[in-house]
Amino acid sequence: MTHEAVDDEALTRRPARGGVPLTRRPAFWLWAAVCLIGGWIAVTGLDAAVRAFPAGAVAGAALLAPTLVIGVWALRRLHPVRTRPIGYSLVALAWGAFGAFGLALPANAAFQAVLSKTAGPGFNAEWGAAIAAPVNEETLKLLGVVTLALMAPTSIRGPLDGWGYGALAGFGFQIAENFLYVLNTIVLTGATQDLHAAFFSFGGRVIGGAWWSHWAMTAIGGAGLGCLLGRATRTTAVLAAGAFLLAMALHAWWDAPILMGLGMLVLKGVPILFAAIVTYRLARRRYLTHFRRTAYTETVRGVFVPGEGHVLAHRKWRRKERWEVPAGEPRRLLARLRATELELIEDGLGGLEHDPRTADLLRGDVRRIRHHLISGPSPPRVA
Amino acid sequence: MVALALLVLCSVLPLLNRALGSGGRRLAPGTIVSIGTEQNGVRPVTVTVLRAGWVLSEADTSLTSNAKLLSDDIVFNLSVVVPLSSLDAQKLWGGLGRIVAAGGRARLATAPAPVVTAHGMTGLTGRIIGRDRVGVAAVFATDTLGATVTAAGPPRAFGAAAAEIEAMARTVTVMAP
Repeated sequence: MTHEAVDDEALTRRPARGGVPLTRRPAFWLWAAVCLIGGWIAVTGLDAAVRAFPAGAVAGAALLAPTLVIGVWALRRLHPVRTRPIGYSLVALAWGAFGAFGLALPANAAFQAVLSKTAGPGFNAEWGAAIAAPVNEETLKLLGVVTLALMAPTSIRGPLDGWGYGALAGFGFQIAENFLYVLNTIVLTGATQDLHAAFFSFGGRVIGGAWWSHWAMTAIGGAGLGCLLGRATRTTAVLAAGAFLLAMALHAWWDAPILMGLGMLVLKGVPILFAAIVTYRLARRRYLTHFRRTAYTETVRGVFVPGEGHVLAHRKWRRKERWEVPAGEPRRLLARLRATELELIEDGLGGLEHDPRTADLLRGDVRRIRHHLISGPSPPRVA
Repeated sequence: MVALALLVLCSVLPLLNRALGSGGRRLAPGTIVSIGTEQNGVRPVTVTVLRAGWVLSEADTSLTSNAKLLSDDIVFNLSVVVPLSSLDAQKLWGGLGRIVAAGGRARLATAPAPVVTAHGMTGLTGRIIGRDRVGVAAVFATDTLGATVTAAGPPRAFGAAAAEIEAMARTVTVMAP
C-alpha cells in the first residue's frame, strides 16, 4: 500500500471506476471538444463587442469574477458531509460556461428565427425566449452532468451529486450569460454609458436575479438525473424526466412575459429558489439516511470503530481530529483513512459502472490503513 | 448518446431555420413597423414604410429591441435605445459610432447634421462608409427613450435609393413613456 497524501480532493485524481483514467475515457474528450467549440463560438461572438466597449467589458468581468469565486465556493460546500472535489466541479463549471453557453447561442438564435418565421415576429418577441431557452439551455446544461458521469462514474452516485454538479454547470452558464448581458445592456443603452450599463446589468441580473437563475434550474434537473444515474429503474427514469420537465417549466416561467417589471422579479424568482431548496433537502435527506445506515452497518461489521460514523459525518470534526494527530505520515494516513471510509459509504449509493466487489476492496483498504495508523509510535485516539 | 443529443440540438434547429427560407414578410407602402417594449398594446418606436419592395427580416428582428428591413441589397435597421440616465442626440450619435464600428464593416463618416422628422422631432444624421457599403445613419433622442437608424448597401444601389431611405428615416417616431 502506498502512503501518498490523500485528502477529500484526492478522489478526483484517482482513476475512475474500472481503473480507467479520466483521459482514457471518450467522454473526457467529448467534454474537451464541446468546451473548445462552445468557447470558440462564444469568444468569436463577443470579441467585437469586448473590443468596442473595453471599459464596460472590464467592469463586467471585474464584477462577475468575485461572484464566480463565491458561487463556486458555496455550491461546492453545499453537501452535508464533504466538499465537492475541485476537479469535477471545474469540469461541470467549464461545461456550463463554455460548452453549453457557446452552443446555446446559435441554437437559441435558430429556434427564435424558426418561431419568428412560423408564428410571427410579434409572437417571438413575447414568447420566443420562454420557449427556446428552456428547451435548448436546460438540455445543454444537463448534458454536462451526463458527460461528467460518463467520464468519472464515481462523481455522480445519487440525487445530491446530480444536484451539485447540475448547479455548478448552471452557474457556469449563468456567469457567461451575465457577461453577455453586460455587453447587450451597453448596446441597448446606445453605448452612451458603458460603466453605468455594466453596473446596472450586474445589479439586475446578479444582485437581483442570481438567487433563482440557471444554477437553481439545472440543480433540479441534475437531481433527477442523479437518481437515474445512481440506480437505473423505471421509477428513477420517471423522476429524472419529471425533474427535467420541472426545470424547463421553471425556466419558461422565468422568461415568460408575465409579471414583468423589477418589482415582480422576486415573485417570479421565489418559486424557482423554493423548488431548488426543496430538491436539495430531499436529496440531502436521502444521502444522510444512506450515510447513517451504512456507517452503522460497517460499525456492526467491525470495519468502522464505534463513534467513527459521527466523526465522518462532519467536515469540522474530521478537520479537528486531523490537527490532533502529529503532522506528517500519521496525519496523511488519517486523511486517507477518512477518504476511504467515505468512499466506502458512498459506494453503496450506486452510480454508473457500479462494481459490487468494490465495497470489499475498500473494506480491506480501511483495515490496512487503520493497522498502519495504530501501529505507529503515537497511535491517534480517533482511530 | 451525449454527442447525438448535441448533434440533434445544434443541427436540427439551424437546418429547420434554413429550410424555412429567409423568412421575409413583405411590407406594403404605409405599413408602420413598431419596436420596443409593448405598453398598453403599443410599441414606442415606429418607422413607416414609404414604398413597396421592403421586407421585414423575421429571422433578424426582435420587436422588443430592433427591426431589420431589407430591400434588395439594402439593409435598414431600426433600434430602440433605453438610456439609464438623461439622453441627448449628440451622446447617442457618439454611441452609435462605436456600435457601427464594432461591426467591423463600416463606420460613421462625417460629423452629423441636424435632421427634423415628419413629426417635428429633431435628431442627427450622417453618412456611413465601409469598404463595399455606403449608407446613412440617424439618431433621435428623448429624455427617456431613443432610436437609431442605420441603412446601408452597395454604393450603386444605395445611391439610387438614398433619397427614399432618408425620407423613411424621417418618419421615425419615438413615444417617450
